[in-house]
Amino acid sequence: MKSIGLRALHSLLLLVGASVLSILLVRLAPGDYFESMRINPQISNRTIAALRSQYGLDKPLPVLYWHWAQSALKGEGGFSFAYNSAAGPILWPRAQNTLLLAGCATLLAWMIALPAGVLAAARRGSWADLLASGTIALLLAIPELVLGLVLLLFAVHTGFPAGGMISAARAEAGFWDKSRDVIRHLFMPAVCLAAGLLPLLLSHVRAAMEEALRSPFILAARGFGISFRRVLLRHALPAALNPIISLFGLSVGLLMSSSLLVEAIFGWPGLGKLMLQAIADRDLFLVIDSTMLGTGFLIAGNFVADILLYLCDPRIRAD
Amino acid sequence: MRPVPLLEACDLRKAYPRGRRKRIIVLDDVSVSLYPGSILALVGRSGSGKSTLARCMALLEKPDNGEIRICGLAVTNLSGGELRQVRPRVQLVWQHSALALNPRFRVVDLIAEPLRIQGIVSKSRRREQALAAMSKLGLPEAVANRTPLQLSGGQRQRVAIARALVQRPEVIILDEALSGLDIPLQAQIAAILMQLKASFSLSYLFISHDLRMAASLADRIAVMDEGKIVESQPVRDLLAQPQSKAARQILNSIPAGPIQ
Amino acid sequence: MAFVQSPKLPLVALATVYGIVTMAGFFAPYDYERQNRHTALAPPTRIHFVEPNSRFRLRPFVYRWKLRPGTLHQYEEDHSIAFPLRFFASGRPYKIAALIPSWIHLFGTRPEGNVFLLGTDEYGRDVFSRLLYGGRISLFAGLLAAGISVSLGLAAGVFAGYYGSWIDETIMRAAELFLAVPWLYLLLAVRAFLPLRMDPAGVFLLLIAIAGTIGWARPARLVRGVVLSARNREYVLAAKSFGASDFYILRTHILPQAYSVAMTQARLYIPQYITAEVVLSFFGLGVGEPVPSWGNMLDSLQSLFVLESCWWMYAPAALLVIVLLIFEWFFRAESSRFQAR
Repeated sequence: MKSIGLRALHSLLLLVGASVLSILLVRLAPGDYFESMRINPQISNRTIAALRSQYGLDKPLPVLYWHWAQSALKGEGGFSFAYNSAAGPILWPRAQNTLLLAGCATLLAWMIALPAGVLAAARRGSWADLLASGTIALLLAIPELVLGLVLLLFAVHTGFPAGGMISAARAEAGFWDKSRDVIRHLFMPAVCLAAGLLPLLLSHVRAAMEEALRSPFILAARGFGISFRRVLLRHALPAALNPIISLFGLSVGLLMSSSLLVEAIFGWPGLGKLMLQAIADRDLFLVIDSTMLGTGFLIAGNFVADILLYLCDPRIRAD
Repeated sequence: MRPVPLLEACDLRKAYPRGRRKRIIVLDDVSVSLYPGSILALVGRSGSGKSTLARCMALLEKPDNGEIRICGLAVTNLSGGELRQVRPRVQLVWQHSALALNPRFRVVDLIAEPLRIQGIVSKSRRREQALAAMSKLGLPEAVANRTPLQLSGGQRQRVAIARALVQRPEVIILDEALSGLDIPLQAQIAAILMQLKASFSLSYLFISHDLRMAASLADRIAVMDEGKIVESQPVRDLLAQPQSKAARQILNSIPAGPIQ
Repeated sequence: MAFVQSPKLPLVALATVYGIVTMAGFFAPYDYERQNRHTALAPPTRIHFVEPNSRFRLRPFVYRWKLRPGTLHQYEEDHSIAFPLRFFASGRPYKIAALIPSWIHLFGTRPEGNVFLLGTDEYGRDVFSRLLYGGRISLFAGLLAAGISVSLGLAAGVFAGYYGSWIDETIMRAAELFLAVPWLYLLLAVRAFLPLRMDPAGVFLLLIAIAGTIGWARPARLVRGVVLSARNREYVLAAKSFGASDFYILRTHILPQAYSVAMTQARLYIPQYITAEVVLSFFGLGVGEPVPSWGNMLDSLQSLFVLESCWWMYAPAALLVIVLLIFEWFFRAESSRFQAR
């Protein structure tokens, strides 16, 4: 239990460190960042001046950090110039959308990668294995940008809605109608995201299973006459869980970056799309907050993986 | 009058922390003296602290307490340039030369390395001296351009000794340098070591768990057990009448047969 | 297949690609800025060998595109004049490697004619030429960024691994921090606070610097591991016993190994950084108009019409995939050769 507590503390410290890094970036911004904000007609000079003093934008770094941290803890995270409101209320729904997209994509990717990887490892050299290798090689070479554009084309051709989360017409419809609509909009971006994740997952699952199947105790189990399927699922798979769970932790980070890209291409209103817009709008706090949230998800993913490892791997518990 | 020991360890103490609170005492008030022109053997079980002692005496590790003296001069706290001047006088040869020789280098460069570090710039001069050292160890010139992994174990050990030799040391500490080689090879290299001792007035600190080999080479034997020197006598005396339990155990574990 | 195993072949292929984009001025018939507003979004020029009267001509020729009356983007060939293709033709001047002026292009035609091998974009600029110039940006940005990040990682890893204690702790914690932020978020965050509009040269350097500094953490960790294990080897201790200084030990015994790990890493990173530049430019945060990069060329595809009807605009994507495939081929060949040893 103590080690989990330590791990949680470590994750928290990492988060704080990332926040310091982000604020540091603000401080490093050359002067004309604020000049370009002035150019935006939506923001009055008085607003800028007021916010500058309120958040200590031109004060020394610790002051700025302190103000921002206070605001963040209140759930606001500073002020959005473009939306003319506190940053928090804008971020949360977007974060939820990203989680929805990323979650579905993760589920989809794992649902394919896990059985496929196990099968490919179990039957080395068979068509399943070769198919896996081919898929991995192909998908690895195609960057997500290209994949996204191709899928976008495909979506347009097949009449899948691509762009946004909900069709305007359905905005007022009932829950089930809305959900169906969201799912239709969700489909393509989720497939794209999953396809980007798939080669990594598939190759690692297969490698982990192959490694597990080579270990002596598996051979012993076979020697005892236990059926291959049983050996595979009851003995090899749990042994391969350790690297697979670590893989999950690793994939969360890549997922965040990839989802940013996918959101941009498909117009899914998530955190990534918000960040891009905030950059264009010179919306300082939204940029920092989006970065922090993305980091937060990555750290949370790793933490969850650590907990799962602790629960699933007796060797770690014994330490 | 007693001659001044060439290399001397006085009341060395060294401990390693283990975990949070415990400490393992590796050297416990160890004192050892090596006189010029003599061979001192240091025997003991593995884990008794021999290698740590070897490293301290070769000035590769600092003891927590105590002193190392070369010809009466305290050298334990030297550093920088002064230490570098003293270093060539005491050299250490390890058991596993495969690890002590950088596998990417050629033999001739490995042997010449100390010269290079000392600042002998001329490549041809370094090569000359390296080849000279090689021939004294009985290594054919053909070996010069090979890498350590292309050599046999015995050849590698000889390369390591040649490298130690090239700096004209006064003391060579051999830390299990012959262990792991097959018996005829051990005998061969031991013979070479004796020749070198004569030609270059060397003194040896011969560390081994093999009492037979140690006894055949050395003048004196010191027995180490759990970080302490429990006995130190001329060879004949120790073999005839071992005083310590550790010495007796080692003697008893040797299969019967004459020890020369 | 034995020849597939040799890493020399993909290496040659990569060198060729890089060579071609370096000599973009020569291979491209036009520069990247020249606009032809009357032939915007035109399909690739068709190359003919047979005249309308079925006469075969050895030298290929092309026709101009003419806008079909009453349409915005539909073209038909203007058969009134045939423009023969010229090879090693004189054309717009350019500079080889930005130094030596030249005006010979691989192919071209009379100024009144147009040979758009890959059609034109929405401003009527030749896509083929922009592809080559854009490739120069994307491919070299990736190369240089990988170089910078690995160099920084090498330095950090060597310091951390060799000197240990607080230096090691600090560097490793910093690395952990940089790795805790998703890479694209970090890249964008850093880019966000720098001026949006910079001259193309400035942006290019900027890109390289950013991507480079963000990617130091992973190589640093790897190098540190190698250095740690090398530092404790007995041959390092032996060198110390000969009186070697830290500097000597680092230079002679530790750096070569650290360096070879770093080189392996660098090779893996180049395709990733190329992709990163393309993504950044795609968002409009990289090299700006009118300088092409494969990323900002792909940005045009965000318009529905272009996405659906202008297949030639996918060229940068196709080329990117091809280059990445060649890199992948190179890695496989390298690693299989390593295993075979």
